[in-house]
Amino acid sequence: MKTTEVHQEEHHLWERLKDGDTDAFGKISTQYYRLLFDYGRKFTKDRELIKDVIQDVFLLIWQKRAHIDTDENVKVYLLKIVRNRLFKELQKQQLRASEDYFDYLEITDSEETLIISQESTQNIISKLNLHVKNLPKRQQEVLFLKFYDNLSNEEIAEIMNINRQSVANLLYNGLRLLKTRLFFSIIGFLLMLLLF
Amino acid sequence: MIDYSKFKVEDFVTDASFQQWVEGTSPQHTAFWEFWEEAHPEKSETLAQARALLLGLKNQPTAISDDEISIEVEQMVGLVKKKPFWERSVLYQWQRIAAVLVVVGAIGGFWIKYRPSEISTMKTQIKASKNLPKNQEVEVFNNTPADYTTTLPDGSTVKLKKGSKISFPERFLGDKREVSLTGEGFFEVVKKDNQPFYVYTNTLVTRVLGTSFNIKAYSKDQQVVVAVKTGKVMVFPLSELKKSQKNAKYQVQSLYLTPNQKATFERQNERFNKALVEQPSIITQPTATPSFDFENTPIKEVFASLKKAYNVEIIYDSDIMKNCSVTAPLGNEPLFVKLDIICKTIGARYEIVETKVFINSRGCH
Repeated sequence: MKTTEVHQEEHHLWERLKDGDTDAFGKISTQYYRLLFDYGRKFTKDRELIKDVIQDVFLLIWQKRAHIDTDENVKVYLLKIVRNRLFKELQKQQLRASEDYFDYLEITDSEETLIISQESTQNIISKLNLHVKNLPKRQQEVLFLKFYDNLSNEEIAEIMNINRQSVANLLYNGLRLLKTRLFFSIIGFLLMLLLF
Repeated sequence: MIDYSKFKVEDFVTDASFQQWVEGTSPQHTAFWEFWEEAHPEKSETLAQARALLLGLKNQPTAISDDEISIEVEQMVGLVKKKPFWERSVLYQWQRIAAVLVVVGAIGGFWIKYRPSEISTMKTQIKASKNLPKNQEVEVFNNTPADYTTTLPDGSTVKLKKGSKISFPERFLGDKREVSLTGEGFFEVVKKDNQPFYVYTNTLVTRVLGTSFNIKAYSKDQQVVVAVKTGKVMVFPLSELKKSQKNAKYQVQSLYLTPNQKATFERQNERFNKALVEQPSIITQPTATPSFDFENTPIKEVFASLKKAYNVEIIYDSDIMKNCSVTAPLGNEPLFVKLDIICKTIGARYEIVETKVFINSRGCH
């Protein structure tokens, strides 16, 4: 019931946006901004580029607002365009070659892992983030879409333009890799504690 | 009922019921899992790991703060609020041109009525300002039933369709070569970098350096069509030119056309459209005519050779189509026939949107 209410409220917001309500435009932008931005980070560390792409996408939404079908899965649609545009931009700038370099920088960058408390689950979480970043790109992307925003395998397939089985495979392999790396290192840590 | 006893960590993590338990949103699922855990003590380690992994995945740090988001959103709202929509981004150039034309439509209509005097005034102005010697206006009217080719003072040629008329000065003086056209003409313009060539029709101005192109501007027609065969051509509404003459800093809103592209200007609703010509021709020099004799050629190379030969952008998913290859001995059939054949051999479809060709394929095995 909660989800239908949320859904209805969002539907209402989109209707207002279609009527040219800039306030609704702001609300919808705010609502999706973080998801789109964090998703964009799966492809590039260039924050300004991601912001530019998101801005273009929202301005496009505004400009084409009369033609938006609010019954469509807007979230999937937004993620998909952000993804396609980022790809296009990155291809243009040929930044993808240097991506790994930025990845490496990021792991040593403590500012990136700001939001971490002292609890033990949080310990696992912070460790997990490092391991996630070392997964193959497409596995990272599937894990992000699956768990950051609870998307279904079908929705993920649609966004990434691959079939459902590939999504399932990427998801499964990603999780298995994570499990092995994460818990092996924790066990190693515990063993060390026991030894000393 | 799902048999969870064989589940591994990764299976639990993707299980909807398990997810609800970890989220703690459903008392029903919580009860089930607490009971299940007690009944399967051998699985408690696996469950703990799955739980930690799921929590970790669901709580990955965000890379952007609320403040930063507010700033970005504020900026976007500001953009849609303050600026008219057609000024926002280069993406919307077509709408921008359309908008300018809407405003100017009335003036354009007025101008059609008084066209001849208007053109001559424009020329007198240029002449007066430069104090050039008297330069007679020549007018060529093709009243024969066939095409008629006339040569202009600079050696450029115009093939006039029947009933079409061109006027130009005896000599091209000053920094522009200016002619005006009624009807349809195919121009082959001699390249002169410092003396651009202008063709005035009732509503459109076409500016080139050296190239060949066709202009169709019959006064009875609702459209003016400029199609480019070689070189680069710039097209803009006459009104834009006038603005730039009044204000030197004014930037003319124009359309840029490259070979095999055409611009259509609708007089009725004052719209500007860019599209591919009906029969795109090969643009490379005859000596370098590319081979279209494909034999097990990867699709990437096939599209690249078409792109190069016809100056058309072909959009396709290189990932999905990476296994596609084409065997087809193609020759001088028109581009769209080539595309038909290629698409049929790989089970794809194509669609043309504006000047781009979009390939729709599910890939090849």
